[in-house]
Amino acid sequence: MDMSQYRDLFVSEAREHIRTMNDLVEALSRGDEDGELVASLFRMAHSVKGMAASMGYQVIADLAHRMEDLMDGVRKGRLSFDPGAAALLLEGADLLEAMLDEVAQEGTVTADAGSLMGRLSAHTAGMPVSGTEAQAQDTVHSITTASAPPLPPGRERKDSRQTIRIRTELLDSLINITGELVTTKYRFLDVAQEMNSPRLEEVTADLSRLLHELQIQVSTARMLPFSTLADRFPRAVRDLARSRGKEVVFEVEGTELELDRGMLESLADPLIHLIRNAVDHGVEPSHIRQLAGKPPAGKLRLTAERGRDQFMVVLSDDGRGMDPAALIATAIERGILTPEDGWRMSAEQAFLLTCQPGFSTASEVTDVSGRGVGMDAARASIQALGGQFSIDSIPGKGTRMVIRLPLTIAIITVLLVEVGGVVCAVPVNTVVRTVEVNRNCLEERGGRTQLFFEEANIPVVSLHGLVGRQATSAGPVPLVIAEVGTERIALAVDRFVGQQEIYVKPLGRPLSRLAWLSGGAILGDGRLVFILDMAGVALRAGI
Amino acid sequence: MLFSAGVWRCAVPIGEVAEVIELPALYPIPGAAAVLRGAINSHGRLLPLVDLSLLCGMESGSASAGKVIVFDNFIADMALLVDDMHEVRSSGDILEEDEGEVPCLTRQFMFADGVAHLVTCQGVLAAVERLLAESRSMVATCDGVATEA
Repeated sequence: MDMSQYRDLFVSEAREHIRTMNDLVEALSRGDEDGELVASLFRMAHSVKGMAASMGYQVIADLAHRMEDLMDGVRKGRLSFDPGAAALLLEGADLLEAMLDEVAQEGTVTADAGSLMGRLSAHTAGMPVSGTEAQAQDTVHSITTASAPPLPPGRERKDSRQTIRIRTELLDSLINITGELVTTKYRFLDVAQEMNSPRLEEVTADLSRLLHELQIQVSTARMLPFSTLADRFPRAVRDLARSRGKEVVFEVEGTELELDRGMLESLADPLIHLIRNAVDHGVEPSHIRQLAGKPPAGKLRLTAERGRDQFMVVLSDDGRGMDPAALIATAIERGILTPEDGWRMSAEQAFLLTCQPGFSTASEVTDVSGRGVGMDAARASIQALGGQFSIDSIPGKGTRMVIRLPLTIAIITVLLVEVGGVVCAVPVNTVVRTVEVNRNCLEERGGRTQLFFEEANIPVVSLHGLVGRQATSAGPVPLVIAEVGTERIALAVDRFVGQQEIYVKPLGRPLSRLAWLSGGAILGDGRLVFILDMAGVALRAGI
Repeated sequence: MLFSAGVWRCAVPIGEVAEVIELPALYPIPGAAAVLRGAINSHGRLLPLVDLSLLCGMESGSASAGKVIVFDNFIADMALLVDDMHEVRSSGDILEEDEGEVPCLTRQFMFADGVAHLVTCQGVLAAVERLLAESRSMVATCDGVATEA
């Protein structure tokens, strides 16, 4: 029998069980000793075992079986749920998750579970397990979370709403079609005005209201709770704190708030980096904290808040904080800043220097936060989502990092500009200001045109070069002052067309290779426009 | 499916073709190489239109005429500007297969009535991306005069 058609369902359901297993282990580790929690954990492992066996994934079934055996021992009172058991079960959940990733992508499992299964069996048999228990003992007590613990079966909240599983591709398709309908609506409006038909305008207005409602409903269907992302962080903090020999109390709030699925997926990497960075560099070791009169355990808090038109994620710690003057001095020393620019820099801009590539010194780069995505890439990822990133910090008191995101990534507001007859879109979240200046306000320095703006020299980039057209006007130059990381650039254009909401269409290959374009859109009149990526434009211009 | 591009007769596997359309409205792609003649709206998708003649090192045909082959391929989102479409041939009509003589078109088929150069989505994509990677960045200044970096 061909079981491949059931594979997605198996992966999806097994992942949910594993997520619940993680929650239950965390709850039991906090000391929420409860026979029902233990029984529930046993049943989760049992279910994964049964599902995997029926699908023919024997190695997954075997690993789940060993975890089930351990929990059976705890359930019957033969074993205690100690830190060693917790560490083994969490390691097992991680490995199961990795195996499911393989199943989802390749349809087969190649991961080796032999070592872990041996240790699980040894622990279940009451034999000592090297390393695990001693390591786990250090930090298990130091992790807490403010999110509600999972409810075991029998205590489940009654939910009268009926739910069904839908493939995420279908939801993506629905949002695409809705976006197309929004574009078509603008075309209807144009036609109604051209025909001067009040009746058609009236019908189009009705269509517009229905489309707005559809857009809201489809966007809502794509929403997932923040917990989908945040639930993995207590583990990450626990493991990291252990490896760094630190004590960290981790709190999460707002896990029930919902955000677009695509946004959550794209937020995972930058957020995990910020958390790692906070544990690694922000929170001090216990002995240093005590010398400073602080509690030995550092406090790390992740909060999600939802505003009218934005989603805010705040990560704060009570660690060593940052001194803006010291950051500026370091940047000058490394040639990232000129002393002149350093003097003019605000504290907020100085904190963002940590997002400059090459800012960290070798001594600060660790095997944790110095690896993989950096602060610069984290900030770029947030901006690519149409979001904003800011840092506030007080030396000795702590640091607060704030991510502000639009509620959906599919529809963004852009400033449309015209250059040589070509219309381009600039995301408004990157625009600082639009100005028109006389040409004598611009000066040539080092072979580059610059504008003196708000006490700083900003390089001017003509978009005429980008679209391959010559500038024709000799009059005032319309400029879009835009942010690129911590820097600013001024884009010279022919005229500002205006702001508009657009439905963003991602670019496939080969257009995705053009770093200065982040997407495209179809305007109401059917014209195609491309959305400029400020970092890519600056890079192309050699800035 | 046989078609012509410049002086060449070419063949594209019919399984890679989503549709063939008349040249629609073209919109400029900022900063793109000349072989990307512009972007088209294909049922809501933004597709770059690759000028096959230019890609193969020949002069481009008319800017306002030609046919467009829209690729149906998961690896790329693009369409191909060609001069004209011809008939569909069966693979059984291929008498011989050989290495191609045209840049970017590395295979050719010998039919009873002559040669047709094989054009595939993957081959075109590789050639276009190679071209994009090789294109030199431009430094632009406020008066619109671009100078080489």
